Amino acid sequence: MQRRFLLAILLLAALSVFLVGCGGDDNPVTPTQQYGSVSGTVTFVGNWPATGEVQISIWPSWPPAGPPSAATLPIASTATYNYKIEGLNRGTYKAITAGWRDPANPAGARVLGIYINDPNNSGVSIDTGTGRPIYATPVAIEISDAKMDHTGLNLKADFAFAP
Amino acid sequence: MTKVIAMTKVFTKPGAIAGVVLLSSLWCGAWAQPAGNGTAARAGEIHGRVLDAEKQVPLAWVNVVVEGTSLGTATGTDGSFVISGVPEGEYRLILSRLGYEALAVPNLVLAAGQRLAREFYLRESYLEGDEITVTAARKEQTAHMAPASVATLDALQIRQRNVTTFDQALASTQGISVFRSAGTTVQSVSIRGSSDVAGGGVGNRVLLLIDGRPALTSDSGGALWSLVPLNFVDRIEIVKGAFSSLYGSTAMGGVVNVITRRPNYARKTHVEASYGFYELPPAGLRHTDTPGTLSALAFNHSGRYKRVSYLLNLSRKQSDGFRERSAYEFYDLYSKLLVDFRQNRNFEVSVGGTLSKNDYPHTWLSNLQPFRVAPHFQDNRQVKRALNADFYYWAVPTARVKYGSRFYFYRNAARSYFNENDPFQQIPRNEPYGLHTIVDADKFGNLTQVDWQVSESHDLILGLDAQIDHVVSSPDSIMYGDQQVNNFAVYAQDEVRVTPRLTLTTGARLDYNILVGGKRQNQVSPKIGLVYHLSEHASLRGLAGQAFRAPSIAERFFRKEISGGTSFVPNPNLQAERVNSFEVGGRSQFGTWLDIDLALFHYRYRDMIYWVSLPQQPGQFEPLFQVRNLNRALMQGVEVGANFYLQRRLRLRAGYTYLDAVDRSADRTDDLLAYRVRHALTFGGTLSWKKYELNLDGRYNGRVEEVFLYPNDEPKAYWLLNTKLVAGLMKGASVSLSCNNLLNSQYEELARYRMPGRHWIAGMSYEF
Repeated sequence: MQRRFLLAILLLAALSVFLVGCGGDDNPVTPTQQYGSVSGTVTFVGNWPATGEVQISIWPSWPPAGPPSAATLPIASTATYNYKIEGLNRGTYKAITAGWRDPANPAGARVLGIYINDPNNSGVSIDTGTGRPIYATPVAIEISDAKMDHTGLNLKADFAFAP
Repeated sequence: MTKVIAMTKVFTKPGAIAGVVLLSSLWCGAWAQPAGNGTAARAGEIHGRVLDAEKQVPLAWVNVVVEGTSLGTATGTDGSFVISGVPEGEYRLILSRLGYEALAVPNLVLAAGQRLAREFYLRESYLEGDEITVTAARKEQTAHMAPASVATLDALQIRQRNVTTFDQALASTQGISVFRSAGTTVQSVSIRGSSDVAGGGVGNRVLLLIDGRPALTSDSGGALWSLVPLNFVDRIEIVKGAFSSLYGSTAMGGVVNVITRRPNYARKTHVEASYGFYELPPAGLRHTDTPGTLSALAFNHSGRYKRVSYLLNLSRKQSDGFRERSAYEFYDLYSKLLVDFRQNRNFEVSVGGTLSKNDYPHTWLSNLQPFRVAPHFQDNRQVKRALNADFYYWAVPTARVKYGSRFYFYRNAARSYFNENDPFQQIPRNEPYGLHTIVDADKFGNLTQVDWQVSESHDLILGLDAQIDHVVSSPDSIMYGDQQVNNFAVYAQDEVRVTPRLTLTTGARLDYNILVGGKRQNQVSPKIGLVYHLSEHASLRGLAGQAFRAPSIAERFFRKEISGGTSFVPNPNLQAERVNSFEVGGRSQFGTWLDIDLALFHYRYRDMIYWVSLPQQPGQFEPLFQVRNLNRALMQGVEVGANFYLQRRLRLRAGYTYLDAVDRSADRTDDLLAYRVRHALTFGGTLSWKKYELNLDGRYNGRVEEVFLYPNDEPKAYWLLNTKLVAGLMKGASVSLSCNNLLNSQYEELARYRMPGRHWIAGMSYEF
């Protein structure tokens, strides 16, 4: 009798978990409170190439050892562009870049500018000996509870470094 | 003492306590002797057949003893037995077998010269320590006798849990981590942190066996999880630790052995259907206003015609997906024939095939849109066809010798289609229009083994293992080209019961691995194991062994991962990686209500195969990697598990694994290895009451501290709870209601692949 009573109690308790737990809770999440963002203005100099696309990307490592953490959508031809990249987890991001790439030849991507806390300097130069680009050390961004949203991260993008 | 119950078609009265289950039942053989005296002419015979009470399949090697006499025998492979020379009288028959509750049949009255025929049914023991395992030593033993940590999942537990795919069955098992990217795509299964998560099964260090034969893809070395015929699983055995001494390459973290059911002797048909839906994601994350659905349909039939038993299974699973581009459609055909052409000589043929069509799994669009994928990934998909065949002959010619040989074949044909809908490249970043990759991976193998009981306390196993892996793939600029690897091995294992309490197991295996036109490698994998029985239901164990993994064809030759844009420099000279494995543990059973298992493990990896990011040319922003023998790693920890039973009505279980996994390479950038979970907890319970069964199944995974490709997007810790309620309607029929992810956790197993939220499934099952 006691065993049946115990089983009945257990069954009721388990059913309660089943029914209560499965109750609807369509609470909308507030993702902006969970994630950080970076934003700023990109100033483009030079002529936009006829092909390819330009994006602003934020990188978890530098030089890149994998895909970017996030990127803007491709940008249409413009002189300046106010970018904002949201939904970033807490952590250290090693670089923000403006880049050009040709979808038909992804391996031929080019960096047009790096955020180095100097809007008048793209952070990219050409080695006169090898003809290859040289990059300045980018400024890392720390997204943490102390500062989730970083604004005013302005950079210069120079189409001289695109093909 | 073993509890003895009575359960035959004739006798149902519970019996009393009887003798001890004979542990080496395989070898008990035909020791029955007729009385052979002057009364033989008047003596009778007891004929019988012993079956599993639930599965209705014959049970071989059941010890049958006429209590109070020296008469007895063991059943043959068809479950039958004959005891001759039984004088007239009233007897009690005792039937016992490993993994089953012993059965006492009282009041068996035999008249002079009478031939008595009966059928007997044994019930599987519900105590985990009493469950049979064949994987730890390639022979039958209980978990108490195994020198390693063993977990088993039987057909009943699989049915009670809300499991529709094999990976779901494993996900809530203690010490196992499953990393999935979509509905049918298992990227990695890890035992105590063994495997890497590198996509497509690359870096897999868990050996999947189906009925003892390896089921790994020839290209990546990943496990063929989709080939497991879930509706025909008898039990799944998970043995943790290094087992290359018996199984060769890949058995570094452990072995998952899927034992499929034998065909039923009685004709049986089973139909199962289910339908469900995914709840919509929370409002801020929603990608659609229409809930995705999922459904499954399975039909199977088994029976016997003369000496041939057969089974056939057809099933289909389908889902619209719970996020963008996560739909799948999966068809499975599996069949098995068993020919008992002579007593104790069997021939088994299994043939299976699967077809799966699914959207290509891609990472999320962003943290803020975790159920969407980028526009240029919207028209990518995969089609996979798999075929497998197994031909197995085995015989028990004498009471002390068993031998078997099997030939098997797998074909895994995968096609991935990219950018099928954008001929004018209007969507930026699309791959070239119509690009598709082709992989045809074949595996041929033979496994031959002889089991010889040298004496009552000495068992010897000798085996040969040959495998040929052949892969044809294209285009060469992305895939591996045409490659072949041959592997030949011999192995031996010696088990000696040094004293009645102490069993010593030693073994070694020699593997010879040849990349055709390339590198040749030898591997020696030794092991030593000890089990000390403190009592009948308590044992201590220790295991030391070395295991290895030969590099896969993908790791040697892969060139480009399309969706992430990662490029690779081939490395045909990659060497095998190795692990030295040490484990001590103990298992104890307290009455019939509790058993506890504790294990401490310490694994030292060297020459670990790992992806290395190569220095890039200035201006190059496509990630560039090479697979190298780079790492030395240490993985160690503790695992504790407990099961609580209230007879067969209530079973509660809980397990906790602590894993400390660190990179010990000379030039490491940090101490952490990617995708190792430090704290993992599994828990659950099943309550059976009258015609109802309620199952709760949960797990907690600590946060992933390091990922491979997406730093700062490491999956966070999560709790997951699944439930299933089953109600029996009439004989053979039941309905069920399941709720998966009851807490509606928003979680990832792999960085940037959001997993499904709460979803509901209603099902029905009918057997006739």
